[in-house]
Amino acid sequence: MSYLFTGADWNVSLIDKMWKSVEKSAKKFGWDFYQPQIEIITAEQMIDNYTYTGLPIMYPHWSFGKEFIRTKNSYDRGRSGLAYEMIINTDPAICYLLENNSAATQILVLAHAAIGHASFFKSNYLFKEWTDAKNITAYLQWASDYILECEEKYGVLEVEETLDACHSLQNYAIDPYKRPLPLSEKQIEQRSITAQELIQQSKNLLYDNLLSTQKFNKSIKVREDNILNYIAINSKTLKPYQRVICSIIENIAQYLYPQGLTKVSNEGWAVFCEKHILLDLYDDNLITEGTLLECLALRSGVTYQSSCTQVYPATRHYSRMVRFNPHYRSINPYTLGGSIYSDIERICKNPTDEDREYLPGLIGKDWKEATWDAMVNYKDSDFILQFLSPKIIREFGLVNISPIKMNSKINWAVQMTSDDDDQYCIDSSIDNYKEIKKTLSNQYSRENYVPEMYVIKYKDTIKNKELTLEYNALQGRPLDEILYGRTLGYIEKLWGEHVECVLAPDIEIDDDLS
Amino acid sequence: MSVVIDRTKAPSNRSIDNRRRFIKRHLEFIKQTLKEKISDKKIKGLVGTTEIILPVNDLVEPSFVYSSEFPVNNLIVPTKKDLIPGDIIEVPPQLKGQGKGNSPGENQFEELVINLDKKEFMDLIFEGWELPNRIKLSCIGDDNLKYERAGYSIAGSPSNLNIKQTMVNSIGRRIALQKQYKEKIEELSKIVPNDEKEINYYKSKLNNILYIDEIDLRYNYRELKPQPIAKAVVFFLMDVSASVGAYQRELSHKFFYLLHLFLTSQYDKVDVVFIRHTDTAEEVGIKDFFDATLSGSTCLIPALELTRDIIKDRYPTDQWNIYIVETTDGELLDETSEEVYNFIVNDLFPLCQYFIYTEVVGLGDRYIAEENGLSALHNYLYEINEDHKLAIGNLSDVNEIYPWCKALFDNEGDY
Repeated sequence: MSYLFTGADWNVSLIDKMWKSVEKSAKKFGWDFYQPQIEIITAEQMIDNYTYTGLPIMYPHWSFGKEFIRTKNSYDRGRSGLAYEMIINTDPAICYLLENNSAATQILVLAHAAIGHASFFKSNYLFKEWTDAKNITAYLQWASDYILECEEKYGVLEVEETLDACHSLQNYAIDPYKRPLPLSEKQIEQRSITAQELIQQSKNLLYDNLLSTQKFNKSIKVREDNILNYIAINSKTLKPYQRVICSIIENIAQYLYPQGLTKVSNEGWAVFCEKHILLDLYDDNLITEGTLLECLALRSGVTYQSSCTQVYPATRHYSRMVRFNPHYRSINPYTLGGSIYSDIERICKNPTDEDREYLPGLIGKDWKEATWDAMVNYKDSDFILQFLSPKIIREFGLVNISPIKMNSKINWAVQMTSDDDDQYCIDSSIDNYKEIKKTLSNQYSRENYVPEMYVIKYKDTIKNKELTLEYNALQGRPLDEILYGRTLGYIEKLWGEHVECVLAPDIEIDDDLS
Repeated sequence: MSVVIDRTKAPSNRSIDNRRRFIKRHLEFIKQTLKEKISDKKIKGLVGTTEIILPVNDLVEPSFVYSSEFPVNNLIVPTKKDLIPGDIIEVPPQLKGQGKGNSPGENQFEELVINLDKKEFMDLIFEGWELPNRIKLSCIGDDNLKYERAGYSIAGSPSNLNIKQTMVNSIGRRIALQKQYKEKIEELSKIVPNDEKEINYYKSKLNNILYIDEIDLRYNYRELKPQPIAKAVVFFLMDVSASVGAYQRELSHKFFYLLHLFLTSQYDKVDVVFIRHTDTAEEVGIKDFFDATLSGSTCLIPALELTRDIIKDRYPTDQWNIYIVETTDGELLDETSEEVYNFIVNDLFPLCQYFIYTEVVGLGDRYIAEENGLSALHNYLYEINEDHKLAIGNLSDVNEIYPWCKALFDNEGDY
């Protein structure tokens, strides 16, 4: 068996050969994935792709121009590098490789993206339910053409303002509790026709008068999470083409919904796959030791995790001090996810007593089945809740910190920490590990970054004449006031009338910040 | 079954349209920033790529987000396992303003920097500016003639042979001529037994049809046509006498520099004549115009006379649109305001399209100044002027240069 390559150079036919070997290796583990469409691109083209947030094609809008300028500036000044890879959730999956990657990097990218991510996109339950990989490109092409047509008919400014308003509601364009509708242009046309019928209805004055004299039983409250859909169907002032644009935004939001909820699991799975494939290729003597080392070095760069705090130990003159590390950003999803998957494998193969206590479901299972199951059936918050073992908590040194007020300053206090001796104690009265796991899992749930805002409908109304939003504040957290005002302005513009926003009952906003 | 595509040669300009939309969207702010930059002292360094810094707050697309001032309870963070319960993490005071004091690891928005290249920059500052009253479109003389394509002719030189037309004609001719022979041959072949001699006769006729004949040839034909052009020349007259102080000189330098930038960037063919004068006038090159300093007293008429002479010499009025721009401090020594005005009206107005008089107002002592701080000449011209060909203005501050130019040249303005 000869090596696939020995130097850093590569050409298109070598990429093809690399892919075939990687694919063969992946099949050995029983992994299923979308076939890739591998595209070699320049750095400028990669910057272009960044601004489309991983979509193959998008309608034109100034916000993408802003992102492009920002990304380009950052790249030009050397402040950020470019990702080595990018892959789109389509079937076949479009996998971008940078032209100035070395050969070892390309094979790493193929293993990471074209196997890892592509299998995640194909098999994870959220992606299967919410995204239509086969049709998304055609749909986006249609959407982009439609918007350009609208610009010609109704003017660039009006269409741009509609898009601005819809963008502000991007997080509220899906209903996370209902099954999504399949992507189909006909459906959109149909919805726009239904909307037109509603407009006709609403012009019936007699009907209006009749409604205004009836008394409603307002006790049955129903909530509608898809605010954009509610507006698109019930607004009296939106034109038909604007309603179609709203539904375009809804469909795109639907497509993007799983990506925010599965970052850790997705990247972790890709990191996990690439490790196994690399080692397998090395065992088969298809890649040299040098290539393997280069890949491992890259991996360790990608999975680097900085600490959140810096401790200055006590000296003769100063007492012990703890400060925040200014370089810390967040928990690296590659690191966390990769560690969890590797840990699952370890528990399946060599469980310790601690594992038997905390993760009994994994004992004795086949590691390939167990990791596949973890990838397919969980989103991030559940993934962490289910599979985060005490060992990983110790590895990462995870602690729980909270802000406290001290002498009119806000500092942070360490509340609980994991045991840092490796000995496992059964008898601790407060199970720190479980608390930390639960808290961390909550950090990855959607309410943590999307404030819970929904429309209140009253079940008895025949049609919905008013728009009332209710804010269910998580932990009493307030919203950013300025952005709130501007968003409400956009919503009122779409709705055409005044919009009320109330607090959910029994919720208090914590205003005491100073 | 996999496909590997090399897209490196494909044009990477997907985002150019979006960038253009972004700039259009924030045009007002960008223009405002540009105006401020022009008023800056470093006007000469402006040409080249210009950086515009936009504050990000205006650019953020709004949506419902949690307030960043509210610190989150119970945050799980990774550490190096060196903390103990009860540790207090101090927030250093200087980080507080940046938002770090509230939650660790938050993103900091930077400003957005746009780089405008030279063309965009010029287009934005000089948007809508035009030299006014450009009505003289003349076309006399040999250098106004140009060859233009005018169809095909049947005779010409071999280098002008239009192959496509020739071939089209030859195909048509061949089809027409072949038809009769082909029909005959077909007819004869149907009769059995074949008359070999006849068939061969017609076949040879068929072969003898020329592939290209002389009547097929076509040549490109070009005609001489006169071109209507609008040529323009602008005379820059700058007063560099002793009474013009350093501050005023700087003002007039900047004024002319901006004008020069406008003319050279927006027009291909504008002549600029530089004349500097004290009590005598001389025509100089661009370097001397902007750099050198002289001393003497202020007299306008010599400069105006020189202008008139140059016009008569080199720029016949039937072919050129002529503009005259003058900056001075108005402190005339030997002349009176009437004399200047009469000269302008009698001698220069018939020749030129537009005369711009700009007074640079200085600080400190002025020899002849009226109550409103401007010179007698200025006030006289201002009162007596009825003709829309004479524009009168004054500059006392750097910030006024751009608005004054805009008022003069923006084709929406009154002047």
